[in-house]
Amino acid sequence: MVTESTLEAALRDLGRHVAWPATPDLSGAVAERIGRGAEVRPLPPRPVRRSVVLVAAALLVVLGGMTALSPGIRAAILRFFSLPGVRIEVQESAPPGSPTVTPSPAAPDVTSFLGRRVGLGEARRAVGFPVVIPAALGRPDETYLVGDGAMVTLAYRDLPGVPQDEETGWAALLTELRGRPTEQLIKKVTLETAVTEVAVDGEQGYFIEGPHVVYLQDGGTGPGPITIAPRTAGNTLLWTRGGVTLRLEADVPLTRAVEIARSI
Amino acid sequence: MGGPLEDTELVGRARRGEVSAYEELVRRYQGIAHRTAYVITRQAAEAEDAAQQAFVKAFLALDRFDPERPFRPWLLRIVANEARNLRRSAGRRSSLELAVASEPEELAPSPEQEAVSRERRGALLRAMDGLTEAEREVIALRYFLDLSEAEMAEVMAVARGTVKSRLSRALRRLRNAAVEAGVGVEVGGD
Repeated sequence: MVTESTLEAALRDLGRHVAWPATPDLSGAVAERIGRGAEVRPLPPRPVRRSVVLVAAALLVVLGGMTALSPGIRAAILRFFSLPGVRIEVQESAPPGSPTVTPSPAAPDVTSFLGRRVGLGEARRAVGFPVVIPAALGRPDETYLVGDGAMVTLAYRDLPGVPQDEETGWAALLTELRGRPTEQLIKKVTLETAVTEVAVDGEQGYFIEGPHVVYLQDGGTGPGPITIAPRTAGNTLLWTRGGVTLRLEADVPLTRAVEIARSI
Repeated sequence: MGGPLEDTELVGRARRGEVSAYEELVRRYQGIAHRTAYVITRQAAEAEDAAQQAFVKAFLALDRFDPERPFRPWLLRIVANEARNLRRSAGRRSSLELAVASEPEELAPSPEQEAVSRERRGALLRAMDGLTEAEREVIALRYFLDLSEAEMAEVMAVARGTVKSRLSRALRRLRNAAVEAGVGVEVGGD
């Protein structure tokens, strides 16, 4: 008769003789996927979240073409769409020779249009919402933070089938920010730019197709100083997810952009 | 920095973005991760995919990991989840097999005895085929992979009490199956 203890001993013996498949070395592949760019970076003390800072809210303005941003032209809004914290304004093309916007000297700490480069963990702690990562993109190569956590941008250098943007050098940029009444992500497009309303997981979104100008601007209800210099942006999908506004900039068609958005 | 670093130290460094620290954790646990996945998928390639995916997901979730808790059970839970997700997408499953190479020579006193041992192990393995998937799994986790009850609870996503009851039930069924198959005497050795 078999007792449990002898059976257990026999099973342990059996376990030592099982033909397990060889253990693959996963460390290289895993490291590759999580990104070699993340070097040792001592974290600064956890920043105190100052909502006061966020009152001087960020405005991300997108203009169709290399449209000038003079107040007169800005006023010529034909129609607009909005999402929490986002406003897409459609206007007529700017006349040639319009004055171009220069960055305000008021923001000396902003070194690039993305903000300050930080570790993903730091960004997660700095913003007041869960930073999401679409499975279709995976872990970003680099992470950037604007201010104390107004918005975070995940930057991807290489993605299969997605060309790198000539100006930014990135294949995809995913910006995440909390929509607040005091801050607006304003996007301006011209009539030549296609704006398509889309639904991402049941939530509203817009796809802007074609090059347009992006810049970051402070201010709640009215335009404030521009804190990040204008640049040309490519195809962009904007959508909301659980109260957070997301902005995916990548040279992909609408369907692929929505696919990426749905992979969160 | 004499001996190998503790898991908690490596986890802390990985959380700060130190990829090499995480690579060390991967090397440390890829064996048990791959075998745990294999117990569930019983396809080597799927097990590898599941383990790799689990390590990536675990890295991305490190911020939510409580550094006071052991890393291995937490990791194995993610591995098991990935393995189960992959298994749903089907395909043929192989049974566990015995290695051709067996005992080192000093442990195998004679070729005859070795042959008897092999026969006995083969019979026990075949008896296991009569068990349900869940029963085979709980036995493999406990006796083949030597997981602790706490780790089994994580992998099986059940309470520890359930681990105990499932295991004893699986053993009872296996014992009956072994007796029915006529391998009971050999298995028990009495």
